[in-house]
Amino acid sequence: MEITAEHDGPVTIISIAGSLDALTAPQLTEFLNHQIEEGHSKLVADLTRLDYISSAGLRVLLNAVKEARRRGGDLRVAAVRADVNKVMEMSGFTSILKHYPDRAAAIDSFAA
Amino acid sequence: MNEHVPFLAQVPLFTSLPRSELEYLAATLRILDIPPRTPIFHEGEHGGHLYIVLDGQLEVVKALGTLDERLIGVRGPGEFVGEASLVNPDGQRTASVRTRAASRLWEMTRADFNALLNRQPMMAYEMVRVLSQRLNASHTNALRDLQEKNHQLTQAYEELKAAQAQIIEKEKLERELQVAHEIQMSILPRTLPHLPGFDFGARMVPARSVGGDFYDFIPLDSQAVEIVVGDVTDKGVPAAIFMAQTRALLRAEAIRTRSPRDVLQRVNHHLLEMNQQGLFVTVLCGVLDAATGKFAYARAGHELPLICAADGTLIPAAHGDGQPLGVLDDPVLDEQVVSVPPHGALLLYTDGVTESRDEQRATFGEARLAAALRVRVGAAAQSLCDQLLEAVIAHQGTNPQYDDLTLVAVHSGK
Repeated sequence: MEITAEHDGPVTIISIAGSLDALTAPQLTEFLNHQIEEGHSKLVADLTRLDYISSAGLRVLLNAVKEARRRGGDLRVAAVRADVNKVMEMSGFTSILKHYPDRAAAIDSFAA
Repeated sequence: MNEHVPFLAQVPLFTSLPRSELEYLAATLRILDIPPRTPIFHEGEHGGHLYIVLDGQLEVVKALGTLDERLIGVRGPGEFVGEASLVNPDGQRTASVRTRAASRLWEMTRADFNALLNRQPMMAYEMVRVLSQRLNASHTNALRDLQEKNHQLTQAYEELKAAQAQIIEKEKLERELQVAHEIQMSILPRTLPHLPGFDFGARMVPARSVGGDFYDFIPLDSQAVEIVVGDVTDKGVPAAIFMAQTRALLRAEAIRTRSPRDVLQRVNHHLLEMNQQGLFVTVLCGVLDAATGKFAYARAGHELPLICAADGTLIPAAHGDGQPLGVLDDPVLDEQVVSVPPHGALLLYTDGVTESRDEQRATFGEARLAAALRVRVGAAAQSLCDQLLEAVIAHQGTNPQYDDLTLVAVHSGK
């Protein structure tokens, strides 16, 4: 798994590539916690290159959403691939996380 | 006058002696010339002589030739060595003495010494003064040695204690984890339910000592059993505690209502009141009715059941809606009904099964699981679980198990 962060105004875009599972989840937890503690609570997770997500991965996103919302921000997901979307749908996450077709739409949603 | 008399007069031991006595000593004492680094006498042996240094230097050494060898003094001209064994009752040498430089010594025998003391009792005072000085110096050295050794010992002891404490702590933790593992395994159902026309099977393998997966069979009446499979999305002790809470709540709520959806809603409500850890749990919970062969289930974010007919045909289960428990105040949940086909099987599992990876990081996957189920559909439910678990472990190879694995099967015998 590869994680990178970029800033676009008040929004932090986190790109996650590869496989987000029990093995790699702790790495993302640490990364997201760091971003949120630094005051970046408006987060977009760009999942264009995310091939796979497990329930451990979903838990990381869920905890980040809770923490970001508690600080007045949010974590929104963009460009979710079909396979990953299927897991999110199966586990009921499509209605917990706000989904956007691409990164730009997710960034714009914070301006609204 | 003997040439050595003025020198003897300078020897502290002899300052009280009259000139005639010094003349006598100078004339009678034997003179020895000893090359450098030569032993004069050894610690522990019986001593019969005292030596006065005329010229050169002597080293007084304890434990000569051992690892503990220690130089305790150097004696120069006018000083003497070997007095201890002449006054000690056992006559033993208390240290070894060797020359440092080439030395010239006067040797006095025990008989000479005793005769001298008889003639000149006042000399005993001087002897005592020197002995007490040497004793003092030796005590001070011994004390310093002792303090140094004591310090080293204390340090070593503290290090040993810390290491031991660490070992004890680690063993305690391992014992506690082992106990936790036993408790967790013991709260899983010990026996499989009896329901006319059906047999059941289950396997759970935690990735660590304790895990977050669980399953349960809750008999509702002679014709119905509630089947539960759950997965707390974490591992280790916090997940195990959350799992135990969830399972207890499911048991309590399952006997209050026949609707799996209501059971899950109520459990969710309790979990939200208790859960501070940000943990959540996916659960599949359903009632199998022996009379109809129907399995009515609610799915809180959990994997769909796999249903396979006797001829190996897979029967798709309706997707429906379902969100995990412990997250939302009012999760979307619905109920679906499937039939267990005659001589077919129903398989419930956790994602540790499908997410198990081989050495090339390829997951076992739903397709492989379904294929494995299709060819074994005729097996009794417990044998089916055992065989599927074997297939997963074979897939995994030498790769470590990252997640808990759970398989629960129902096989229709009619």
